[in-house]
Amino acid sequence: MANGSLGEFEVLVLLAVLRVGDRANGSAVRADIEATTSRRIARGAVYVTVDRLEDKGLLTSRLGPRPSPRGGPPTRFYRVSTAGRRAVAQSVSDILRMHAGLKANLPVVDPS
Amino acid sequence: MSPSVWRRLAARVALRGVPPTRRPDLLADLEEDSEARRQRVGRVRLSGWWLRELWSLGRAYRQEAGARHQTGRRLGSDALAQDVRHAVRSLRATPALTVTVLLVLTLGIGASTAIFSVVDAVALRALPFDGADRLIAVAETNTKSGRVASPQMQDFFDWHARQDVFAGLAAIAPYQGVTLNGGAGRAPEILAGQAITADFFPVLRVTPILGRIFTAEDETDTTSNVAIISFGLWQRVFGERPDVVGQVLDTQLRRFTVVGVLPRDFASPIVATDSIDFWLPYVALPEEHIRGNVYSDFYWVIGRLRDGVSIGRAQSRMEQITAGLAAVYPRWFKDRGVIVEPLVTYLAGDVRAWMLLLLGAVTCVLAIAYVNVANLLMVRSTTRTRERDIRSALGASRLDLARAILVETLLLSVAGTAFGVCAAWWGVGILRASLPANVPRAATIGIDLRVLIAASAMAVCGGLVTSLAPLVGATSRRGTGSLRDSSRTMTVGAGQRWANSALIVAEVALAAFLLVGAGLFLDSYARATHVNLGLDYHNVLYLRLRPVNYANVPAEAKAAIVARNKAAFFDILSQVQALPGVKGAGLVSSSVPISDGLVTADLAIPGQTLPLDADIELSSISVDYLQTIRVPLVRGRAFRDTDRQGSELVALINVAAADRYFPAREPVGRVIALNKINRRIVGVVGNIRTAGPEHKQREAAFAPMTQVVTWGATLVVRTEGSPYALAGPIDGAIWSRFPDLAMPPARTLEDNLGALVAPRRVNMQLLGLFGLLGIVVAAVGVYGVMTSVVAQQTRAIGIRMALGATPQTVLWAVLRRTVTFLGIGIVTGLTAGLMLAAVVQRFLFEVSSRDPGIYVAASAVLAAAGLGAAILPARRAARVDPLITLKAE
Repeated sequence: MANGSLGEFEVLVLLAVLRVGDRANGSAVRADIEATTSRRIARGAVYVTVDRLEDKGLLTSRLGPRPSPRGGPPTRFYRVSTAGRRAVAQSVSDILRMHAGLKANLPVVDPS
Repeated sequence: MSPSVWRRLAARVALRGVPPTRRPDLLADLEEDSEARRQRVGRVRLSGWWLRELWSLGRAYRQEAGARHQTGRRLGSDALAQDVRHAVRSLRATPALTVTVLLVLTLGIGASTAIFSVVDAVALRALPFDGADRLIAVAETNTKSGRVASPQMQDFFDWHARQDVFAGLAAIAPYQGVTLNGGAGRAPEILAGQAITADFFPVLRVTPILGRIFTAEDETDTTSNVAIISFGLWQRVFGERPDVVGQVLDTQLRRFTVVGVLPRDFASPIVATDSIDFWLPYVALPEEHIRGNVYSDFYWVIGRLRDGVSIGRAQSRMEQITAGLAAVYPRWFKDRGVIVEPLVTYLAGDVRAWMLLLLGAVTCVLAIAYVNVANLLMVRSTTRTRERDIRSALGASRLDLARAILVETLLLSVAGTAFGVCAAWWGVGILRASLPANVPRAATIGIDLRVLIAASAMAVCGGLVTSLAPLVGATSRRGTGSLRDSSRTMTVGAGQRWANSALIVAEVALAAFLLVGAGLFLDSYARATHVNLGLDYHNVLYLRLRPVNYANVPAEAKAAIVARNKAAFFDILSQVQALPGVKGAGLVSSSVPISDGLVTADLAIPGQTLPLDADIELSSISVDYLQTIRVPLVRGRAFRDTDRQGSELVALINVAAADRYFPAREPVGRVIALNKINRRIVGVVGNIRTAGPEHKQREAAFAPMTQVVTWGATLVVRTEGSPYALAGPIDGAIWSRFPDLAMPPARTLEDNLGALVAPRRVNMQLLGLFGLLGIVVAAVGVYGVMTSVVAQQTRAIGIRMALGATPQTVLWAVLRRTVTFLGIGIVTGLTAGLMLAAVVQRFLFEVSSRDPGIYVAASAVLAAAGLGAAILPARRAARVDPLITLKAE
């Protein structure tokens, strides 16, 4: 993976973290991607990807409050770092530029 | 284990490869989603979903790790999955071998699992009582013969008073055959009871669910007539009434007052056949406190060891007490010893040794099975040298190769065990039904968790040990020699050939050993069933008539009742004799032949001094009795209708009595005193083995029933067809005179004989089956090894034939090799048999455990099977075409 460019799924994850906002934990990210796109996503894939993005410095994370009263470990929430915002903006605009002008030749995908 | 423990365990396994610091929050998210889902789906589906999600987490991380490091090093679980897939593929590639191995394992494991479940339930498992390992039995021994005998009440009372090693000591006496009067829509029924001393329930740590247990006062109060009843009786007779305590149990013997009800799952540890319905306090006769001539039979003494007291200490203390008593009563304690044994061992008694014998035999079967599997796998591994060499050339380490073999063997072993357990499930049902009635705890036999754990442990151990053989062959080879050569020229290393031969010899030896055992038990059974019993036991039905218990009848009324009952017996007899299908019928006062009890009489012969142990079996019989069971008259005359009360008192004796008490003299016409009553001998009849085929013929005498006082009688009926078809009409005849009589079910003499020889029959069947399994499995082994030997030597054989060897020579060469294997194996097996012969001798009947005929027969059978198995590969060798073989180079 060349430095600076993002995989497609990484882009989706970054976008989902941005979309969900404050409550972006693994489950919420996955749910958002699944709800918005037409994909089923393996649970593990999300976590592996956020870990990788965090390693690259594109995401930051913090532990949430302890979910009392049942106890158990707290969940981890993510935010897109400045570098992350830049990278995702770059990727999206790259895709959009590549895509521009091809509309006529692509089948129409129903967003629902 | 609680669900959360399982979940944590699953998480540990599934999340390998996930950084540990990361795990908690992954699980937290999973938990959150799981909560949301809980509203919508059921528990089972939720668990399935949870596990899948969990697995996906771990898998993603492991794949990520693989992608990141690019090492190609597989992680444990994926490597295992790959090995399993590989093993399944290669097993499917050789279906014949796989099926053979599975069949052998199924037979071996099925047989041993079934036998183990029987042995475990009967002899090994702890008794179902609290602190059962502290329960003991105390019995007396005959120090001369070494036999264990019933404890005597006289001794029990002294033991109980003087001992300090038991927390409690209780005596138990059988109290069978009490008839419970009918009433309120219930037919009369015969109850089984036990008379017990006060410590009984405390020793077993059982408390009644209603009422109380017995106290020491109950044992001295002869008028209280209290009883504790079983849960079953409470249900049956009292409809689970909560106010049962104080109610009356109305039997023909006495009216008992119920003082307690026992829990549902309580069963007396000491049971002959049926369950016990009620318990009475043991009220001792005055004579039972005096060491005179009142003896106890079939009594038991059980106790609980005091905390911290070992069984050895209890034994020595009891010996000390008994020695002290013996000093006071030397005559009573002549040849009398005492023994303390764990109750579970004592209960199993002789059956325990028998069970361990079966376990030993089945272990042999299992050993053959595994040896065979090892052999077959080893043979197979030699044909796969190429595959292994290729894998090794491509970079598989020796560990990888070894693991592949291990996985394959374990897979076979686990599958074989699964099939075997299914087979055992089916076999246990048959075994349970065919076991003789004297096997304790037979009802609890089944495949339970204990048995399954044992079977699984066996599967894993067997698999590991079995894989050693091919492992040695596979991993000791260096280099990629076979890649350079064609597979035909491949020869096997000397080490492996030696191992092959050793395994086949071991198999044959074990099979020979088993066959000898099978032969011995087969012969014993044949002899036991062909003993001439002295009577014709086919199609003979008998029914005990005990109309009234005389305990409550005043003495002056007894004679009248006895006379009236006797008249009724004879009336029933003549009614039965007139029934269509009845060939003959008679009455006998004592037990029928081939059953448990025998009644001996005091014997004297005027003008003769008899040895001290002179006694004689005595039965009073109706005129037609001996004719009914077809006992021949040897001399003199049989009884006649004219032998009645008032006429001369007469008797018949059997040949054994005539030989012993009237040697070289004519007994007919002489007078003997039976129970102090003089009778003239009018005839001599044939001997009957009253106690069954394995007991010697005893001296016996008969008196006419008309000339004795009888309390009850047994009706004996010979029928034309099936005896049970007549049970209904016979019952009708009996009820015409005794309308409210509760009768034990009718039995036939054949039933009795069947029950007596049942242990032999089961032994014969099981050992025979094991022997057969042994032969089959050994033959399969011989076949497999010889086939591979021939396959490996095809080239050598081709060259020899090209140089002029005839097919016959080649055939003989293969067979000669088989003969060597068989010879060494058989000699080894027979030697082992001879060495262990003494162990089985006590289980045999009229057969020496070193009977040469059986050893020869076993060898012959095994040799024939082995050679038969070798014929096919030998002929294949003989048909080798030298041209084709050599061209193949």
